[in-house]
Amino acid sequence: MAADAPATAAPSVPAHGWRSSKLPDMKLMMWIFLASDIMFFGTLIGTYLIYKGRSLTGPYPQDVLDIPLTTVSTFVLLMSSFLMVIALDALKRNDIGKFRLWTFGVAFFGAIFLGFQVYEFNHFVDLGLTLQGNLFGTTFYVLTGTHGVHVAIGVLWLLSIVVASYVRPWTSKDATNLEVAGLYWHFVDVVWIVIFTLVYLVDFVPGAGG
Amino acid sequence: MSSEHDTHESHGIRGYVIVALILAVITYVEFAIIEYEIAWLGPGAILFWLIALSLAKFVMVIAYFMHLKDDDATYTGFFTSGMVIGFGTFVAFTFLMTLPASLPEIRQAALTVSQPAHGEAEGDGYGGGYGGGISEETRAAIESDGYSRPLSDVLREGPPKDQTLRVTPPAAASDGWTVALSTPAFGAARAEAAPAGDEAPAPAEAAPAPTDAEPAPDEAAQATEVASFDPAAAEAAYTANCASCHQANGAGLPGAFPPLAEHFPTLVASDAGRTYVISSLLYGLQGEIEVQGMTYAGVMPAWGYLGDDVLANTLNHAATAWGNEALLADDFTPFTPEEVAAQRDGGLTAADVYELRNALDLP
Amino acid sequence: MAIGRRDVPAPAAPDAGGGLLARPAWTKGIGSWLTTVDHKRLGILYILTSFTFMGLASIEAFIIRLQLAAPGMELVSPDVYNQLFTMHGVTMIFLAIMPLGTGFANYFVPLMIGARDLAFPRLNAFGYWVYAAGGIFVYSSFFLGGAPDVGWFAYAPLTSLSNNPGNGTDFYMIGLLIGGIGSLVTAMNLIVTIFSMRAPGMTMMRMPVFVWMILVTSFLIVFAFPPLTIALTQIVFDRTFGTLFYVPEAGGLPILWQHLFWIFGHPEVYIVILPAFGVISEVIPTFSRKPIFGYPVMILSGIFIGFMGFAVWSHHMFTTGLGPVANTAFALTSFVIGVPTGVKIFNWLGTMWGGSVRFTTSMLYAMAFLFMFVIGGITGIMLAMPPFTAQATDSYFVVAHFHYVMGGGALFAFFAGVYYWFPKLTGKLLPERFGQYTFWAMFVGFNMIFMPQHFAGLMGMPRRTQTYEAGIGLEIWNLVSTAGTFVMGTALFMLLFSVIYAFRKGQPAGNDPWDARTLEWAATSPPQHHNFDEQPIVTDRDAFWAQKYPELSHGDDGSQWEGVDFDSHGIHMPGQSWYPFLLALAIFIAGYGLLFENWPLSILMLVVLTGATYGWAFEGVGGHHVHPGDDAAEGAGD
Repeated sequence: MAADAPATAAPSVPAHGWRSSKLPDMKLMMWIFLASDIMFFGTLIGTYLIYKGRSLTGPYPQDVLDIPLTTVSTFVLLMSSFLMVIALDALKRNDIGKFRLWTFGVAFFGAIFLGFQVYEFNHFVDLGLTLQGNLFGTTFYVLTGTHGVHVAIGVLWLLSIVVASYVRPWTSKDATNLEVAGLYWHFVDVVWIVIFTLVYLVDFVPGAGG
Repeated sequence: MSSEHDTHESHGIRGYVIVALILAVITYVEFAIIEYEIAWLGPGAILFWLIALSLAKFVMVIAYFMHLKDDDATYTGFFTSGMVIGFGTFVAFTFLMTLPASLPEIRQAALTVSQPAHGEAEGDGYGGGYGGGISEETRAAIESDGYSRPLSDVLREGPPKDQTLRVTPPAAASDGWTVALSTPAFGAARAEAAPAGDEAPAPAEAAPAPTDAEPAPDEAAQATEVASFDPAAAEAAYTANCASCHQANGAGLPGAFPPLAEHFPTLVASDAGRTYVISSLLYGLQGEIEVQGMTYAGVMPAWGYLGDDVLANTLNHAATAWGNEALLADDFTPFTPEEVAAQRDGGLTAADVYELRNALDLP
Repeated sequence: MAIGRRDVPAPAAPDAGGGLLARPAWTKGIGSWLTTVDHKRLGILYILTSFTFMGLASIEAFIIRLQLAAPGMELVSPDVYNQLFTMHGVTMIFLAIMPLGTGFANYFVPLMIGARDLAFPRLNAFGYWVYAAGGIFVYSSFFLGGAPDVGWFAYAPLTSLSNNPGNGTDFYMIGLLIGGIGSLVTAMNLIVTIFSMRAPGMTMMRMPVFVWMILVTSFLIVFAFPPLTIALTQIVFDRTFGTLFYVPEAGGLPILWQHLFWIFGHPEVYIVILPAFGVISEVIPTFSRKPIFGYPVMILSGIFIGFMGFAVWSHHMFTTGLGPVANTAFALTSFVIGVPTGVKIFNWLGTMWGGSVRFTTSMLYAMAFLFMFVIGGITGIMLAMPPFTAQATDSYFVVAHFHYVMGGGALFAFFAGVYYWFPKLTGKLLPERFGQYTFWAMFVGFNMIFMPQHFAGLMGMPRRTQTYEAGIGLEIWNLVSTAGTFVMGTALFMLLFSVIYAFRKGQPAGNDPWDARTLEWAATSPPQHHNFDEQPIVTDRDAFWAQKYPELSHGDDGSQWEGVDFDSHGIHMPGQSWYPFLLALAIFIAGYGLLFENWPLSILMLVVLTGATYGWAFEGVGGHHVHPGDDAAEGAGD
């Protein structure tokens, strides 16, 4: 509904200069970053899979991983993605109140996810799984920890957006800014979907664990 | 505000709600598959459904929440190129990394299956490194040769001069070619091989006897002198060259380096085994092996640059230290530098040694 | 990062200054260089910095060659020798040749596509400062306990703490991590710029080949650097936090490092060579006075090379025992990638064929590039055969091969670029006749150094070895090779001298000294801060050529742009900023904090980093609008 301007006969020239593409720079940038991040997480997940079953000592994945708990945190992260889209929807409709509420909700859910992860890490260390203990610990903590850092950056970013929307009132013109943050957030969610399956669930397939 | 906006809102949000509900249900199904072990679903099927379901979630989030379905194709292009390169690279890479683990089965299958048509043996393609596979004839030659000579000689020259190779064409299309060697007496072959390293042709040298072993019938007095070894020098040689991997106590490192303690004597119980351990020192060993129920995929480097005496010393240390001595066969004779020298200049590869190990079916 | 940026500037709001630091406004002096966001200034900084590092790497190479001049020399100890060849490789690849391509891209991509700057000017500045920080970080190792000595690909487990207790390896790992950030952000920036800031009428298939090659290179960087980043991080974790990624005793697989490194490392070869291809594709048509032969094929083969670059990494690992199946597969893909490269060679020859070729210094370098790159390519095809690699691996044959590709290929192409673009950068001409003498000295010297190494390598001389035995036939090849360094060294000094001379007393170049084809020559020499007074309109592939010789153009007449006032707002000039420099500085110091495990310092720098990021975000792109031809009018900042 906002993108009908460039289709008219005389090309519009924004103040920052002529653009050969009607796509916002920030959004292009974010998609390229995400494409790059695929390789980033691909390497981490690849390392994890290659080292799967190569730990010489325990604890092994089946000894520590807690599927019900992680299912809940996975669910929380998925629902934060849902809040993200309705926050963006609200901002596009200029419904600033709901935009702030839902954006805060996303950050809040993200924080809950991080809380789960902190609890999980603590619990695992108590069970004897450490960064230096065996290969499973090494690869597991580095992979999920990197993902956790991504989530933490996302939470900070979204909270900053909420604060910024008070400092200088946001309107639907700022939707791209939120959309870019949202793309990042969804991607972090998507990565977790993969991690949840390949790191957590697969270990409990009868006969396929390692 | 206007009804127009409201319709849009409810329509957009309703779509998102449906997607979110589906995502939640899929997550629960994934959880349920694992938590309530479903007996009628085999492991393969479970794995398939887990991956399929997570893929569905993956696609839904990207298509609907990230709006890629309706957004500009440029974004899809960026993301897809990343996915294609990333997926392609890491699948190939994971395959490359896990390939050695699956090689022994492939190789074993290929070697045990009788191949009516030569050259089609797929097992030959999986040698690992540059050794390539060995043909059925060579394998037969090695086996019937009694491992009296370095494997490389067998590979290069074929059967020894004093042996005759009989090749029988297949009687029926389904049979393979049969290859047989008329093998001379074992001791004679051994006597011929051992002194190859030096000029002394005395057959007696080849059958050394330590003091505690029963002397061989044709043993000469000088043999005792040649066969004995200095335990201190042996230990020094082992400590300098072997202990960093196989450890000073010979226990190896589980999963990384196989143990020698309580294992080495079983290797050298046969003359073929002696040939093998010398080859593995001279040419290294590459491939997955199983020792005492644990799998080792490491690489043993080639130690051929060390002197014959050093190599013989390390072998003797491994054979006698850590209580191994008690496990030795009664007729065990210590390794001699000459025995090592006889197998030099073989030009084997680590992969050939691996072939040899598999062919021998060593513990 | 997106917090403070708006697509439409706020009307006439005074610059809030971002709260933390006042927006700098120097136009002269060191402050103006530290805070600049101008792509031309950053391009010059890139080029100067990479040539500085190249000088350092040349000194290292010179010492290496002196050590190898005769058998049994004791000029440097084996330990120092290890540091020298490691630093030579790391410097040339990460700090010299690759950033040289980025520097040319920085300067000329916006000019060639008729833009005023990159899409994210401050990010561009950040990219440069991080690259410089990474380079200085690696080089500081010489004064802080020894340089890295593990070879430029730093194979595990050589890099483990037990095998390498010094700090050298940490400098390598963390330095490359820092520098990698710069490469990544600049590549992303260039992609966005090329997608969204082309002049009206410049479709993708009207872009200069150089811009195309930079686009492909940028994608390669975007996809190839993350695996390296992870691999480096794994080693840093192994060394700093005691993780087990590459600890064989715990089941770790050192071969994993080789895979990850070469998944990055092979695309890296194309990251280096594709911008060089781009330079050659500009130089040869200009001096042949013909459009590039087979433009679409040229572009497609560039894209194909980029894509296939990810499918050949294991040919660096033929001798690690991948097995015949993998070796065969990667040998085949390696042969396949030779095809588009060959296509490009023939297209350049086709461009020269029938053209009125002017043998300027730049053209001589370009032709030498063709000659030597083909030599490097042929030895490359030889090395793509696993059995041959089994014989030649780790020998001087390999050294000769990649020096012909990297030096005779990429470096000579960039020298062609230096002679071609120097008039645009400075407004002065490099001395032409002296340049030709320089070229011949360079050409002879280079071949004297590296041609004999083929033979030494085939005779079995191993690389990375401090000395060699007498009497096995290696003396003459090494002596000739060392003699060559004196010739090429002289040539490098001649080049340095002519650059300094031309900068001070060179003949004025004018805007278009070569009767060139692309848009950068439509700007003044050197270009004004805002590049073009009026938005250029592109009607054909060689845009500037079509403007000069409309009768030779088959493009459109540009009538669809009539009546569009492209510069109604004036030209937006982004504001200078302290934050890119500050961020890079924080990362630089945090690197030392991590290396020396000084956690308070690291955390402090993390705080500075976060603060600077917020400062950056809330500062906004800022700037003002200029109206060329109407000096009095200055738009308000936003």
